[in-house]
Amino acid sequence: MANKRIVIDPITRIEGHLRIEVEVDENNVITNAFSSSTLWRGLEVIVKGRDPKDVGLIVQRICGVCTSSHYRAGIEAVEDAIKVNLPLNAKYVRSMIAQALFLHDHIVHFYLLHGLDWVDVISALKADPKKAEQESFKYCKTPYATGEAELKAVQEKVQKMVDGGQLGIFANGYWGNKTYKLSPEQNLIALSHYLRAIEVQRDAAKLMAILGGKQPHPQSFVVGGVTCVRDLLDPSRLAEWKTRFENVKAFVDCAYYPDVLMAGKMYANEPSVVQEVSVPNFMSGDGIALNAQENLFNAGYILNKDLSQAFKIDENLIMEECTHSWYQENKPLHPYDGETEPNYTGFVEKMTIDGEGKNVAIPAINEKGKYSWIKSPRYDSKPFEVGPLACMLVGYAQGNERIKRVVDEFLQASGLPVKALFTTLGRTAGRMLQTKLIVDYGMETFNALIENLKNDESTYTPCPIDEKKEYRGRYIGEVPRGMLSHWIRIKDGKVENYQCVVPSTWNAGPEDSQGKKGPYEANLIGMKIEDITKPLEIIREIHSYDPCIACAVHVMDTKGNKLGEYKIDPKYLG
Amino acid sequence: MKILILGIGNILFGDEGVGAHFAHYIDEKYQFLSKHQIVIIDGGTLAHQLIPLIVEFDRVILIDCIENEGGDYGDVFFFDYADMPMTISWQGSAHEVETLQTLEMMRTQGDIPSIKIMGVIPKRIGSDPTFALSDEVVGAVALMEEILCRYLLEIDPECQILSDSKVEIRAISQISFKRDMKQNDF
Repeated sequence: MANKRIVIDPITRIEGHLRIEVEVDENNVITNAFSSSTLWRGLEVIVKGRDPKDVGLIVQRICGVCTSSHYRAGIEAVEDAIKVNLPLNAKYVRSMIAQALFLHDHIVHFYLLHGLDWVDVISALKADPKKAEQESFKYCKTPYATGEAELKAVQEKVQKMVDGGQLGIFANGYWGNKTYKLSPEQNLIALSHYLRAIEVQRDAAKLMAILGGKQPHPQSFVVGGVTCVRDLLDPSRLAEWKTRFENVKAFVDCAYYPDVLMAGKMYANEPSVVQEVSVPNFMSGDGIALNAQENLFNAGYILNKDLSQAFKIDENLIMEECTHSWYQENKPLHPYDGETEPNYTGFVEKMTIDGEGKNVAIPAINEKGKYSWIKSPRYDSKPFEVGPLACMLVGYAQGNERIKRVVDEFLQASGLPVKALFTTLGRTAGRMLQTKLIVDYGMETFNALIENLKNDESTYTPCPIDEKKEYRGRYIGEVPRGMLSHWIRIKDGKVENYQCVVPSTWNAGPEDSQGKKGPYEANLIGMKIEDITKPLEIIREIHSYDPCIACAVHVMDTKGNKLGEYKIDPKYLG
Repeated sequence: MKILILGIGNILFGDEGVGAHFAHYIDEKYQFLSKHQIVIIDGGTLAHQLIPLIVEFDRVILIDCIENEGGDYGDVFFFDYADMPMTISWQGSAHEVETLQTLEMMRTQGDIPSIKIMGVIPKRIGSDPTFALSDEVVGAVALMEEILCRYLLEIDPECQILSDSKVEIRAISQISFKRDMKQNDF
């Protein structure tokens, strides 16, 4: 019997637009997988010929989630090119804004984007709130928002949505899928935290605004330093930072951590989430300055799942190639010399399974040719996974004491073996552990800032760009989705070339010229799908990377709504 | 009362950025003298991170691109978010983390101000990154600002509206990315 093909397009609850196509055999086991980003992003093009000092402000508009990451990368790539001696205060401010972004991003990801892959909302309605309250004490001494009365209120709220036929935010779940493993009571606990996450993420967003000047697009970084001078010197603003940080910490300690612990225990034997990764190499960047010398995360990589040694990154070995990407130049190029000339070849007709399980012909990707707008980055011609899990594994292999502590404590509490880290479940736990590290140690940066402000109020170093000189520089660092790098060349005082190598590129890129696959594709192969019309396992796996296929278009889509009656007739102008 | 004029959109992709550019344009062109506090914000590409801002206000006018089958480029829609039939299939939208989902989350939490949505049908999106807007969308701007002013006068009949007719949205769209708002001090 021929293999069947399943197409999921778009994968929702992510940032951007991603298509996954898999082939399954007669036992519904995935035999091949392809990841295709179906939106062209020529973001590098728009900064060419502009003033390098404007780059940060422009590239932060790439995305609707990690604005301050790209903003900082655009600023620091230029600082690296023209060699700026950055004031300590500026270094700390940037580190604190990065912490706030990690906290915001990971909480939003686990609950609002990824959570419903683990939590069956409809099952939570059948739970006994009293039992659920007792259950919550198994994972935390001081549980968060799991009192009987509150859980009852949560049920009533969601029940009302269901009765009204309007599931709203819960409208598109594969509810009832057999690979959901939590009991109704456990689902209810997580559902209560889901609703609270919507509240708590506000505090994290406000943290970013305190020193970022504004949200959603902060504006306090400039080439040479930061501009949030008045906020830095205002004790009440710093006190506000501390208070909000502590609110977020309480949620991480008493909701997020226990929920992942609970999921870890309940999903330990679900094959689709504990299948070991096929791309065994992991890489991460430097991140989160804690003081003048130390970072919370340090750059490096590991090979073949070997936690006994970590290696140093040689930046010259990073290449991007386009054998299967919709660009002109196929051969591997270093990001300084990267090209972004599109060569779109479109789709071909193939038979695929639809939502009813019927075989229908639709345009599908041509895996023999080009099939994605994402390039394939390689290090020393090997594919790598990046992201919070990679950051934890590399730190562990480096003997980073802080990282070792949280990882070991989690493994002990959940009873999971070390090899469980190299799975979808491990990837989801890794993101939570990274969040835990930031709430546990982030205040060190805050304290270093206060200490430094006592005798140093400088926030800016003037740094002219000489138009007669050529420069090149880069930023490489750890951001919420993994290792991000921006590469710039400056000539005649203008941007000559610009390339962003974003974390999701490492994870989501297509096959390379050697036929080696990146993590998304390789790690899906071998997974068995319970119900091919509701491929929750695929979505859970892909969501575990927190895809960020830089958002290009976000038109408010009002399909199925009769909006005609609200159209304004230009005659209105009279 | 606090009133928010919130423009949404990704300015790197032509018409997709019209909401954000429009907010800067209004900020540059108009002065609103009202007993209410009127704030203008460029909401850019963010979704969840807008929640803390939006909940601070009593009335919100949200300007964004909108898809509507059968409409023409540059058509303008104006309606109350509460009137929007909520039969939206998010599977049909490529962008789950987006304006509607954000508003829906706020509604789930029972914490949402009165929101008017002003949508315009975009022509060019994402073919090449550009700050430039299409003729159709630029042509819609006069209607959009008229609707906005009338709505503000509906809320506050005594509101004085001063404007500078020399301001053009095409010029503003080139500098939105680094422009500071004059009227967002709240």
